[in-house]
Amino acid sequence: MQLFVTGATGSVGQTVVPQLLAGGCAVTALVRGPAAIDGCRVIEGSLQEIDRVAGEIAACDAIVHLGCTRSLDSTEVLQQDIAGTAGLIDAWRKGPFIYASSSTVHGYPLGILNERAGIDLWNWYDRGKYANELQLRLAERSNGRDGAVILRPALIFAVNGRRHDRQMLGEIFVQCQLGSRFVFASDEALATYGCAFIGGTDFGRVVDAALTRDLSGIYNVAGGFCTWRELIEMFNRVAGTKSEFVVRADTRPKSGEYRLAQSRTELDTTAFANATGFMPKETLGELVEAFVRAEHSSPRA
Amino acid sequence: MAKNESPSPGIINPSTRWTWTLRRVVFISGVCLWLGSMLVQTRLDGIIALWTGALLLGGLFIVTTPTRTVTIGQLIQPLCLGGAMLGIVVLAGVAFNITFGTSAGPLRDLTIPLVEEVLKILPLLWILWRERNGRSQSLGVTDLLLIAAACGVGFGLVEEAFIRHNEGWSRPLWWLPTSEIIRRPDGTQLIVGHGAWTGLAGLTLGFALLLRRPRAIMMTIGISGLVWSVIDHAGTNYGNSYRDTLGTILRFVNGDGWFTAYLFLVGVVAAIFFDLYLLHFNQRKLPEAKLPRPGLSLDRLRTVWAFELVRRQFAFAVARYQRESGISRVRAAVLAANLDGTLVNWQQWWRDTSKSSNASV
Repeated sequence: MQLFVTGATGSVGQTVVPQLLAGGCAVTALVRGPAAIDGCRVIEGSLQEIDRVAGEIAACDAIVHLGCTRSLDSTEVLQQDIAGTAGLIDAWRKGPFIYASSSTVHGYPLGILNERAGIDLWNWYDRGKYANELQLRLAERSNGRDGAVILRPALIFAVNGRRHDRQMLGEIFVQCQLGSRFVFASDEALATYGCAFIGGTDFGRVVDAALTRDLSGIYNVAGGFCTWRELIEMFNRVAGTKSEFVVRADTRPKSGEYRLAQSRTELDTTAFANATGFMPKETLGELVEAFVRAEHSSPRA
Repeated sequence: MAKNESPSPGIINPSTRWTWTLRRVVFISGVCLWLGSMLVQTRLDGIIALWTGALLLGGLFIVTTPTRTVTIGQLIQPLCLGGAMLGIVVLAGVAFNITFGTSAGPLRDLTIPLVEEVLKILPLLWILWRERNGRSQSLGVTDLLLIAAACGVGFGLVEEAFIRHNEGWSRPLWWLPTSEIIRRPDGTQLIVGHGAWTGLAGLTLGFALLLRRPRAIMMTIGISGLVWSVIDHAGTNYGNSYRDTLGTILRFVNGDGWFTAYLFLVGVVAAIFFDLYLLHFNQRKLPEAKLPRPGLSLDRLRTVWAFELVRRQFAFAVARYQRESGISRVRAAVLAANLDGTLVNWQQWWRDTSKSSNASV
């Protein structure tokens, strides 16, 4: 299967592309700057000039759209993320379209969310993701196209060269190294607040699984849920850091303190598991250990 | 979100709380002065002018119920702005008299219709421009018809009241209450009234804004209603006063005013069917756009109606998205996504409330 992949050099793309190649797919990757990706045919360009590569896209059997500015700025989101995706959809002629959206389109409510849960678009990143979801849902199964598979992953804990590029795992690790104290509003918050997560390699397997079945629709994907406390204590144990916790009603961080999202949003992933039989393999412990190993072998500059 | 509160989507969430602000005090004072002085001076004729204007707007409001997204409250502003435009026309008339003298009748009868029709459509254009990245993108053709007709009715109220106060009332067409049939020895002439003229201009603008392409054709269609209104209005003013060649041509072109009435009727019907098509075509694909069962309680009906209005806005925004290009398309996508998020939130609220009511049973 010939795939057209965007965002192949990004934090998510770096772990997804090897999985796609391992699954036997041929990958044509759109990259913004000069780059070489093992096993891939690389085309230099951007989503803003997608017309230039429309022929390449039309020749591919499927599109995997991982590219995202991850910006909160309205102009960037409108002109790059949404306009770029619109161009990509225009060039989509056949096969499925896999899109990496985000579970943050639901906001950060407390509880277990399925795909039909309420929407809370409180920043431009989420607006961009949700607008792209809608564009795809309107375009799928028309003009020879197959279904659009919209994946709403939990936080992606990816271990690769972009692991510190605005990634949550990298950010928490840096705070642990700095010896920051993590602030929580109550003992209950300390014990229960955290995040759903999925390993980068597992997410690559998710994309591969989505490609091999005639799917369509929105799917939550996650590998598990961890409390912030579990995650930080794991870093302390594996990397030898000594971060502590502070519990007080006013969670505004003071000097030497760090405030994590005061939420516990879990994702109901049964729809994707039922459709594909996907089971996550990467555990939190493995991900943290791999992250710390990567730090030891090539620490952050 | 509390389960028993009405959904607060947090996306398209208009505030309904009334607060007294200086702007509102000035606005209400202006409206009182506008309508009050008219009623004092024209008495019963003013009331009849108000009544016929209300009949036209109310009738349009009722027949467009299956497709419109605007509410009565949202028509108040264009109605008042239309009234304000009459004040500007009066000033323009004074300026005309100073420049050309009061004896320049033929020129006046040809230029004033142009000035009036352009000024009447200005409030609609202003509203569209002000909301260009938001609400303007989720209006249907019938919405533009209603807003434009409100501008026209607002403009025509005082003028009608004074003309009728001085010249008396003649019979209107039963289905067009602001119209006036004038009997002459050589036949009848119909004056459709300001509401219908501006409504027609709004209609064609609505079609053009929703269809978008091809640009040149759509621009022509968009402006055609206004051009026709100017021609018909000039035919009425000039053709009534002068029996020369130009007057004869104008009366021939507008069919003594009857063409406009039937054009308006056909336009309203076409707008309703066009909007119905867009609503059907753009809502059918997505499960969140499915209308829940209305139920029997008044509260339930009210929430279903509120949902229906959002659902229609969503369909029109999708229609705009599919026909637009460039950054306008992107903005339409964002608006449609926001509206879609609102629909998802409504659906969740219904699921939650039906679960809690089942549990309480």
